[in-house]
Amino acid sequence: MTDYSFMAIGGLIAGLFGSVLGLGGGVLIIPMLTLIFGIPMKEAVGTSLICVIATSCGAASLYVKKHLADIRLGMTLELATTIGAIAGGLVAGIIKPEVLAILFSFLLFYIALSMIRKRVVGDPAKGGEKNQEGNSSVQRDYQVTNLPLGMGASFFAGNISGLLGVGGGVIKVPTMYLLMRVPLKIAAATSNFMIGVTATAGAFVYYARGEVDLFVSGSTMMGVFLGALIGSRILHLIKTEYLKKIFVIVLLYLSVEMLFKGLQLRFLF
Amino acid sequence: MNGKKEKIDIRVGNILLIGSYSAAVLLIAGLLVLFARTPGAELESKPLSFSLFFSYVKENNPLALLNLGILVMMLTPLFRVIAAGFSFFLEKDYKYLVIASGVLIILLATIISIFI
Repeated sequence: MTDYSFMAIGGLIAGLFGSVLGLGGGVLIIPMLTLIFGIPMKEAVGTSLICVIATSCGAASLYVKKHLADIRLGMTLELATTIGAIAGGLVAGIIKPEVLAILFSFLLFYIALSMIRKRVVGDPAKGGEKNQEGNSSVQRDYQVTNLPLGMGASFFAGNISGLLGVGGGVIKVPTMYLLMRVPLKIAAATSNFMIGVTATAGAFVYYARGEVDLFVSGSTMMGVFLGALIGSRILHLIKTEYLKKIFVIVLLYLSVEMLFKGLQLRFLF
Repeated sequence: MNGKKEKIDIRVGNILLIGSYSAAVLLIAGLLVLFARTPGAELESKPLSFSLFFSYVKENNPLALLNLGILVMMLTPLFRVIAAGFSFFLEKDYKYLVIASGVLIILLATIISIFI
């Protein structure tokens, strides 16, 4: 029971940091469940996908009502992300958990690197990293370009989501913004909107294999949901600049830990 | 932003809001009833499944609420695809109705595969 309470608290921290920094909670949930609570890697991925659905639905309801998410574009790209997520979930079923841990370690390293280089990772509430020109209005009369390439990148993002239990915003937001010429704020909100459906497709693959535990997912999801709710309300009070620097260090550390776990070596945990 | 787009945004936004809050309420209610009935209950690890859910319902076990909460959360995105599809139908936007139907078929196929 104590473990489940701590999982809920861990989920709350992940949801809080995730919503404040514009990342899904998955990057923190999987290391927490595997390294601290010793949950098997595949079960952690299944749990994380359910938590990702919770954060996405909570946040997306807000962005959709504010007309920030492009539902039509999101639905079109979801055709690719859902198929990608199912493929990713199926591949995860046949590869070794150690390989998954190593791949996850690379993903954490990539996200940390993206944050250092200030590449867009997606924060619709603040308009992302590159939208700090004081322009609060959102451009809505844009023309989407490179749709076939965008579909390909979305398939890949879905694949990463299903394989590693994350939202995949780190791929979708730059794709929509840089490749498809979607304004950043809309790209970030649309990515968030899409994450729920993508994660659902992946989550049911893990569910079918019996890799979603009732208490682990229930307690962690509850924590993440509350954390994301609190995070979205205190977002405007927090200066994220220093928080991001700390978070980059945490991600780099977790990346090393997950790599060691994958190689079945011990670092600190 | 025209009126039609606002309607679809509000409809889809409401589904997401209702789904996620209902799931949270069910989870909290499940945990509260569980600990009210059996304080200090040992919670054994159990993989989530539809059959487990139905057996909890038959037993009048509060874990059914917990199980249902997670299922509601997992199905909320599916309901929002249906809501968006319905809006596209009302708007006679058949291109996006086909796209929404495609996403729905992919999700339903994944869920149905659980029972096969």
